[in-house]
Amino acid sequence: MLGLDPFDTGIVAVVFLIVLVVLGVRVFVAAALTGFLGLLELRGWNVAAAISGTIPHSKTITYPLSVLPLFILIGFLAFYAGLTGKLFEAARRWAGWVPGGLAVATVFATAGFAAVSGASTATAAVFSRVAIPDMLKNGYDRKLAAGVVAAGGTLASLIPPSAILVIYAIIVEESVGKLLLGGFLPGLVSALIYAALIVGMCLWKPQLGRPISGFTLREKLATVPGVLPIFAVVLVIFGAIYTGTATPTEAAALGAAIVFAIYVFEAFRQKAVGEMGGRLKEALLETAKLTAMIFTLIWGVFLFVRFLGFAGLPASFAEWVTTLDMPPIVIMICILLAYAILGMFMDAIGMLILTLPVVFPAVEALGYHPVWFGIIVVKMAEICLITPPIGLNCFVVAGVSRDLRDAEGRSLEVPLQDVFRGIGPFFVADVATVGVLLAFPGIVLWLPGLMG
Amino acid sequence: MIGDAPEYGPEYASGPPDDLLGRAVWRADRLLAPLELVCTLIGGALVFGLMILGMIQIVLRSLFNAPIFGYIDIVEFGMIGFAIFGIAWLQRTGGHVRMELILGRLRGRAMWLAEAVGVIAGMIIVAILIPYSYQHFGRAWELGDSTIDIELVTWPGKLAVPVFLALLFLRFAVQLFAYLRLFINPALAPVGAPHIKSVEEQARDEIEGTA
Repeated sequence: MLGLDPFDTGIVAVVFLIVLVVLGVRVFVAAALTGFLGLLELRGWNVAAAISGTIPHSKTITYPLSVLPLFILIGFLAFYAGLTGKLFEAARRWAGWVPGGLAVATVFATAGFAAVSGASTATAAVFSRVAIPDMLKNGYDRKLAAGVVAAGGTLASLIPPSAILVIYAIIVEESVGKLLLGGFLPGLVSALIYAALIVGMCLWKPQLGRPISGFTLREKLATVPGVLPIFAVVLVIFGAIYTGTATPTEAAALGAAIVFAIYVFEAFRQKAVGEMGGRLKEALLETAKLTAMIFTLIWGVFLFVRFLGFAGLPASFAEWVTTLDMPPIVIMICILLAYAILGMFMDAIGMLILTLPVVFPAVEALGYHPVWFGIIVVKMAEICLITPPIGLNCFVVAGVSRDLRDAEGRSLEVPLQDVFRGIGPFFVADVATVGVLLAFPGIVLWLPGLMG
Repeated sequence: MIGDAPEYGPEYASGPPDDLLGRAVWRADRLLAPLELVCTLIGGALVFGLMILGMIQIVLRSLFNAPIFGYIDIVEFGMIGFAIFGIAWLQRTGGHVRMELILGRLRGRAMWLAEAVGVIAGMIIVAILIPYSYQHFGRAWELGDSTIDIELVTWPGKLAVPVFLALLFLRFAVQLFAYLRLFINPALAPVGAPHIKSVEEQARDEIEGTA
């Protein structure tokens, strides 16, 4: 062996891991291999082998993690259950009368859909199909129409059910329920800030998007039954977590069953029962893939984390950070900027699982609340979805719009650079939201605090 | 049959390549892929089962005040299915997370070499994990290890780890030869070698998933 002391071994290992990851080795492979080699250096072959052989089973087969596949399943089923169109119709009838009404309605519809889905890019994809044609038909500005859909998609990760918040909770050993409750208000605040931004923009330049009015109360009320299932899912998941009557897994199972029932009902109503089986198979396959991806990452990184513990690196890093001659808020902003940069080049889930074991103890040592930090970090990862050069949501919106046609068959394409231009104001709004959450942590911590 | 199902990817609609190594890779992939896909689908079906079980649990508990005995034990027993059954299929479809900052800029030989190196790293750690996770299973088997509530045996879940890691190892092996073949002659058509996805391609995947 190299004969290094534990701390130096830790440093060498972290550098080795970074090199592997940057070279493009799968993150679970890079983390597990580095963890094993580190354990080998510090504890010898027998201990390294014994620990490594145990972790893939012991670290994944834990009850709190079982909520993940159900949240993912709810999201996939929700796409097939036809909820998006109903949500948008309800939102446009109720909120269309404000300046930029259709864009505001899109924000509220995506926020509503976020309550049954945790997938940002997929949400952006479906609402591109539903909302963009309607906005363009009513003479809305292309850039605004595309920007609001790309930005609205990001609400899915904050408003429960959110897979990424569950993963955060497991890694930092915080209550899953508290994280999910913690995401609710910031998600809502983000949506309200988006809506206020649109209203402001359209008051200033009315040609960006005009109000849609003239719906009677009867017409408005007619949209309510279609969106009731979403309220049911929200009520079930929140009610269960908040009152503690059911575990998140049980609540998610009930939520998934509700969405599944709507899906079956819709298939019968549209006389598409024949396609039902194939689509269900596809939803289950996608669910299984995403779940396996997350679980593999978790055990791979936990192998590395076990080694880090032996090397004492997280503790040393935390100690170093607390002795820095800087106010905690400056250090926090530096950490957030680092995440913003990293998030441009890496999938959000991979980024969090990989970095939190080292970063989180330092954040805790600085005196920040684990739930609060989780929400902030997820918000940062979401901002990366609408930021160039990667900005996956913007690519998705541009990609979907390529196939959109109006009633006369004219193309409704929004070129990528226009999507990026349209997203600009929403990016500024998101940075403002992070600022608000930094200044008023209570927005995040109030609901989880009520849980006791 | 493979080639007909869209899940297998477009390159399987056409026949085997002309070169010897290419044909071997093509054949090996066709042997493994159906097995990997079925395992992944079983994982998906188990998620559906988890949903049903959770519903029964809630109904029994709230209406009859009689929860399923050992519910948590049963859930944890089934979890191995969606945790690891899909691991090899995911590797086949290039679904495991990685950073493509540098890889995305490489072309031709250099790219295939980098891919091969990533696969070799995977083979090393998986080769280490297989025997030692098997030992972990062996201990549970010999001691008759079981859960606390309903004394469900734990060995099947622990056995699944080396079994599916072995399947992953085979997948890695196929990919190693697939990448080496392209390293030797980058002009050949890729077979069994998942490519880097550009942002546009990733976006297209997301869009198709919701169509």
